[in-house]
Amino acid sequence: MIKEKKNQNPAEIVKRAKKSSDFKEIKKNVSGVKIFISCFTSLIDHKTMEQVFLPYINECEKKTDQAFDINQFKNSIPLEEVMTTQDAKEIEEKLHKGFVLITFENTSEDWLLVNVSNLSKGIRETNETENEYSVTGPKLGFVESLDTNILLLRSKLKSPLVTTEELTLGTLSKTRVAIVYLDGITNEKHIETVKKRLAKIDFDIIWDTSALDEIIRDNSHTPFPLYLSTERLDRICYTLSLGQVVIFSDGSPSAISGPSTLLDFFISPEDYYYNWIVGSFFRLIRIFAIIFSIFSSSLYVAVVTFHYEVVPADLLGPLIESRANVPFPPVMEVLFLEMTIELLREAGARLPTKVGQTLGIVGGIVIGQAAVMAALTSNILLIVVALSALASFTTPTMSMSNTIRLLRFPFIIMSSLLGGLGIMLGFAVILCHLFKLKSFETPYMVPLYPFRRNNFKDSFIRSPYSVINKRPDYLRAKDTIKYSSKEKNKKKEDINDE
Amino acid sequence: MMNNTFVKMGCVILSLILAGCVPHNTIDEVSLMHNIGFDKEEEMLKASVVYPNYAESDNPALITAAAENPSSLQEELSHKSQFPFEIGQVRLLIFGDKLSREGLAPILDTICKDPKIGIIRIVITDGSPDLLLRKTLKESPLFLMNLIEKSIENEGIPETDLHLMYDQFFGSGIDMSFPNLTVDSKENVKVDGMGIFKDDKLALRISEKETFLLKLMTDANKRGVYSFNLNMNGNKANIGVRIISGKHKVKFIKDNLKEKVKVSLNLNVELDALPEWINLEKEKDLKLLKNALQKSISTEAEILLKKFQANGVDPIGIGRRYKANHENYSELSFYDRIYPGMTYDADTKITIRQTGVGK
Repeated sequence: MIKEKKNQNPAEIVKRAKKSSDFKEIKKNVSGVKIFISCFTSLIDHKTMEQVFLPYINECEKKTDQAFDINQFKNSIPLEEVMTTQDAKEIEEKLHKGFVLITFENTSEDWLLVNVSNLSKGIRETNETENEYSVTGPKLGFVESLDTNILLLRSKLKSPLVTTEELTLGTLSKTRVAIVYLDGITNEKHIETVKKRLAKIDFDIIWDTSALDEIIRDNSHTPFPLYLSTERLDRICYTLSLGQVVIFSDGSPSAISGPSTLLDFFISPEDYYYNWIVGSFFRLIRIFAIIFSIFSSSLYVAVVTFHYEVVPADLLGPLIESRANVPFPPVMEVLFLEMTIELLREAGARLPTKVGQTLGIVGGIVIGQAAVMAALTSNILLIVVALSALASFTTPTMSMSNTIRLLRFPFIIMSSLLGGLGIMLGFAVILCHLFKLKSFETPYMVPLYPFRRNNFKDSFIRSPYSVINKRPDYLRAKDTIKYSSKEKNKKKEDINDE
Repeated sequence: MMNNTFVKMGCVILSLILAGCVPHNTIDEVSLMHNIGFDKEEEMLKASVVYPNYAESDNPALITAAAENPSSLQEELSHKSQFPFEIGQVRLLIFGDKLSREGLAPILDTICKDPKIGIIRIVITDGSPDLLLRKTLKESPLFLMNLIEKSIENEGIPETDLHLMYDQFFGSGIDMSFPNLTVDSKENVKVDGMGIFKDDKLALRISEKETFLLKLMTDANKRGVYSFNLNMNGNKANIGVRIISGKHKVKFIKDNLKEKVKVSLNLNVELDALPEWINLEKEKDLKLLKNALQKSISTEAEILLKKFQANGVDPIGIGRRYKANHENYSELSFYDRIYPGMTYDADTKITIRQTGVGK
């Protein structure tokens, strides 16, 4: 851990900085006063430096007739952000943000800081939400710059209620972290909780906003994501409008939003772009897919190992025929195939896109078929595992998708030990765990537990806009009504009714 | 707190595993029985089992074993097979004639204690189940189950399965009845009438027609064909009508100190083949046909009820209905005193729903 030295001498700061090869110092003489211009060359905008700042200094050098006045010098610099300070800490901070430091030998105690930084350097300009893709709706995502992200947010929500608060975190990274909320709508308790949690952080580098998630979460021993982490602008706007608090951090293309509930992770922004019947249908399909994905392979193990009596009579033939040549117990068979799928997935994620596609074909078709031919697995299981892998991809958020990938394995092991009872036992444990979870001190399983009848309108199904005009109860928003549900033009005027 | 829960859960799981209370039955490492026939042979209990060989061939195999009690039967069977026999996939139980007459109680008691047995059909045969099963060996192992299922669905056989059997066997005020399978003169297996039990012993066999009447008075599903002799306008013919749906009601009427059972049937029928001399467009013909049909069903139902009464069996559950209406009901006294003295009155109401496309 790095201890911040107190009451540093500005000279020492320059001395320390000089150790770096990209720190440069230029000596100049203005009006008979020796000045030192120093900066990190890697951080500054060379165009501004060479075309604006240095020519100005050179001009000053020529004017030898006037007596040197620091204030006049400061005010005539043709750049926006110029300041004088004596605070060593501030000097150090600003130097690392791309400011130019000007010191005056023997003339003034004040140090002059000029902003010639280049913020957009090294940052990509667009993000097409590749990881949370949607067919309809805006495809605008966040990038690695905090200012751009806030700009994107403000350009979508032009309301004056959008409030940002900034703080710096990380002893090494000094990352700017912004808390965004709607003033007068978001409950202060949530804002207070977020601030308190962030203030307590003692961490070296804030890698990503998602990493922040783990540091500030209520219960760190859980596989479930407690805050919605997304790179989609529309998602963040939606959660903000409900009264959640959003955290951005500089250098991360994702934002986290909380307090979240379990069902939030199965909601896709697309649900709101389609009409409510279609949207609800897709949402139900997604929830079914998640249940299927978690339980299908463990159910296969349970049925084939213990509960042969529940197999429909007509399915017995194909099932036994395909199992007959497999030398392993069902659980080994399932684990083998699940591992294959996980390997494919992990390899696909690490490989370049084009190679990844080839790998998908090789893995999916060739390995699967060969495994059946080699009697390592039965072909019914191949279908079950492939379908459950496919189903797990329907989760709209990456973090929940990973959790579901993980959850399958304990269930498979439990079912191989105790059959259906094992699955029930595992499910009971997970359910107890879920009921205990909290996200920013708000229950995670709302509206199931605590039961909130009204909040079911936008949970498993997406009700029409006129019905879901209120903010969910669990967020305790200060203004509960989002918009009035009454249609403005109740009289329907048909163009043909004349 | 978190750790504590995990420790507790761990203890529960570990104890369950260590107790080893879940035996493995990997699906391809057991011999699944599909049909079991039970019979008595020289004081020994004999079981014939049809089991499929899904892994090797398509045809099922038959294996028989004899033992003195039902519990050792399964072991006797397993002595003759590669894998242990498992009862969980049984679809059909067949009881032989001899065993049915001696009593099914020992077998039924064993079966009802096994939670692995699901919904299975129970039938009896008038010959030996061994012979019956041998006749169907060339078919799929599920042939007999499908045969019974289809007959119950469409062809006038009353619903019969394990759960109904529990209700009829252990419940009061009703007697068991199972469909009867037989091998006909052309060596085909067919469903033929029913056997009515008193307690656990076969007491009475009824014909196919009586079986359908019994279904009309007990089941919610009343599909089947009823044939009757029509004598109208000097012409005679035997006509079959298909009954589509309907309702039955059993009521008690006090009649001169005697209990009178009033069975009302409300049936919807479909007429498809009619002789030429009936013209349904004529109001009179239609009325005559309806009346003849109603009368035929009513009289035959009354005769059947009296037959049950004479044999002391009650497959309709009159005792159960009586119990619902009378406070001080006791099964023993009902069947000793009240049941033999009951009179019957069947009342049928026919609605003709479909007649097919006209000429």
